[in-house]
Amino acid sequence: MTAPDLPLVEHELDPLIHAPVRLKLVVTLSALAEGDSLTFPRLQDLLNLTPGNLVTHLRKLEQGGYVETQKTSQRKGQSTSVRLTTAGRAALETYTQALRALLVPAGISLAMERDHASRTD
Amino acid sequence: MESKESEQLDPRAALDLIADTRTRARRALEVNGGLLYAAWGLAWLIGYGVVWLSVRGHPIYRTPSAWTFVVMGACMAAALAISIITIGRAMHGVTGSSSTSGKLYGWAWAISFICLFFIIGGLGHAGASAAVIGLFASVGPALVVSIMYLVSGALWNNRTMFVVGAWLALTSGVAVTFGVVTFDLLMALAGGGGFLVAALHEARRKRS
Repeated sequence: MTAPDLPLVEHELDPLIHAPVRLKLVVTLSALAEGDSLTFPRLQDLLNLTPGNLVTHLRKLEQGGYVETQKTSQRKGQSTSVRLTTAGRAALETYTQALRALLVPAGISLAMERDHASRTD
Repeated sequence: MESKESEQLDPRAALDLIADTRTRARRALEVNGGLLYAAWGLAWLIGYGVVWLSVRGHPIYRTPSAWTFVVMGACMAAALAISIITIGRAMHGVTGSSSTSGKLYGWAWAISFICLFFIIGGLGHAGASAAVIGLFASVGPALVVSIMYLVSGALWNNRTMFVVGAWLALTSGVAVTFGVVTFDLLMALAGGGGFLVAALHEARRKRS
């Protein structure tokens, strides 16, 4: 029952996040406290990416409304900082849940959800 | 890079990538508390320790000798430098509310200690004895550090910080009843020891 369903569900995985580089980018930004941003050089350093590569992926995420870039003037000159938007944070959460659902057989997943619901009540 | 982009990411690999990236990012962006506790633990142990060695055994309280202040100053400067470098590394490139509150937090420490020096000077001016000045010079920093740790622990929901603050406040409160000389010994052992236990606790927590 689950096997034929699988490719269908996998298609529903958010294509903006379901790519190694962008997934790492979004997860790294989600490690910041809400309302905080990270400067472009530090982000590049953390992800070990070339500037061109980082810009390409950031642009895609920005078009989707998942990240926001902001130019800030500091003492050392202009710098760009990046932050995850509320939509981006929510998208990562949805994506992670979708992955878990793909891995857990349907019956168990339902039982877990019921269990979770009864605990949060 | 394009080949990597089109490469299929299966759900298990994606979840592993999320967990791995999250661990790496947190390790890089979070301040290594264990290192800070270890640095301050050694600074308290040696700093209060040398003051105690210098003032013990005299029938009447004598102000610690000049070399004591040099050793103590060097310990504090080293611990402060380690703190600034560690926090600076973690916060490098982070802008926004955390960065602003971090800067204000740094100022809160600096202002409190500057104020403490003025109070000690004021006590001397008012004719306080060497023993009273010595006692306040030992108790004052312990009090400021305890309160800062208690408040930081409460506001950031950091139990280790709160417990360290409570421990320092209670031990210094009890130690002060033993008089100025014994206070320095107790602060070296209980205060410095407390920080070192916190350092071990943080290291163990990180490994698990």
